[in-house]
Amino acid sequence: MIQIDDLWKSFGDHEVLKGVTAHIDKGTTFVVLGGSGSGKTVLMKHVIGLLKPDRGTVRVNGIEIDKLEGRELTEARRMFGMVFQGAALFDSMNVFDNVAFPLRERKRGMPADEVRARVIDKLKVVDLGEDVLTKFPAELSGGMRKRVSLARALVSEPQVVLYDEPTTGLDPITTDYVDDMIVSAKERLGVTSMVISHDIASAFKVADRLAVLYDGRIAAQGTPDEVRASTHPFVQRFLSLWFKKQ
Amino acid sequence: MIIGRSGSAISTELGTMRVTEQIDAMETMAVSPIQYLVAPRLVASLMMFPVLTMLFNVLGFGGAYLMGIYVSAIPPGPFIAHTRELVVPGDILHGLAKSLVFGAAVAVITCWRGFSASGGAKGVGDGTTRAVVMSSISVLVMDYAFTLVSVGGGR
Repeated sequence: MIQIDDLWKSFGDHEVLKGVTAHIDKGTTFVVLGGSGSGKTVLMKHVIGLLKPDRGTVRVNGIEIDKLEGRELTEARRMFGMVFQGAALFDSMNVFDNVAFPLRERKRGMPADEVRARVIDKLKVVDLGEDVLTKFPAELSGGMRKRVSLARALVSEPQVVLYDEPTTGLDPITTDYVDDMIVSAKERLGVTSMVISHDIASAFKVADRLAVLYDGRIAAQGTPDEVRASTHPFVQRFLSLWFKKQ
Repeated sequence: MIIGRSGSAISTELGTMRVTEQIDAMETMAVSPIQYLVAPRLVASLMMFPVLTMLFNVLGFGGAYLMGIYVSAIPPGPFIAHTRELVVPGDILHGLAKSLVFGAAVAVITCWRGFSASGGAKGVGDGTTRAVVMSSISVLVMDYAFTLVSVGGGR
């Protein structure tokens, strides 16, 4: 589904990605773990074409995303939904307009009744009722904003959902809830998911496969058990801090 | 006045959308932020700058009339006659043409500075300051150029 080959990216003199290679199978959840500044978000932005690599390729469904420009790139982005770290809801719109936005803009001509039905349906997927439809983002809690953001990402029924640090800044109960939502979106809607995180507990809960990014390179990659058994010194140190607590 | 009121609002709103990833979100939803955010503001500026210019022309004339008649005790007849003599339709059209160009410049500059904002609240503030300063200087420079051309053309 997604194939990343030998991806390199620098900003000025600072090399962020140094030859990242990874693949994500259709209908699975792939988690990229790593510390702050390890290049996780930069990697994700390459997958959706927000950044262009200096070298290497990103293929999604066989399409080389990094080679696309303009209208072709816009068309290719219809495959994706993305949940941002800070939710990135449009603060001038209420919840209904936020979730309906991709439908109104990408599927022009869809009857208003159908838009409303799909918005309500996707809000139900993230366990939100019709009472939130008229609320503005500033009136919602952090967890609710993340859920509305996920509903917005799912409403146009994308093939791939990208999650940028979905549990950062959330309390443990909401974190657990967001993890369940990611698993539920995969199981109920069959989407392929890529999750960027430094939350080890969440990563091991939602991942079918995961990779640990360190200093712009993949230090370990595989199933959760394979990564846990990695002998890479950074991976051992990174994971041991959490597993010691268990 | 319009730069301070509307230009700063455009720059601040787009800057906040940039640093809170709302513009990135729009791009990931296959919606062009240029079409969705910049184009309507450019069109609105092109429409409203001439309208506001006409409004200010009327208010300016009204203010001058009140001052002239009630403070300087100029008789209304000669005041209007002299005004009609001095202000020709070409002056009004010249002002409207300038307002169109200023409107486009202010919209482009303030949208561009908003889109370029980075680094949180400070970045948005810096972007807005730059947008207002650049817009004001641009208007002054373009006004000077317009006047130079019109005076040169009048010789």
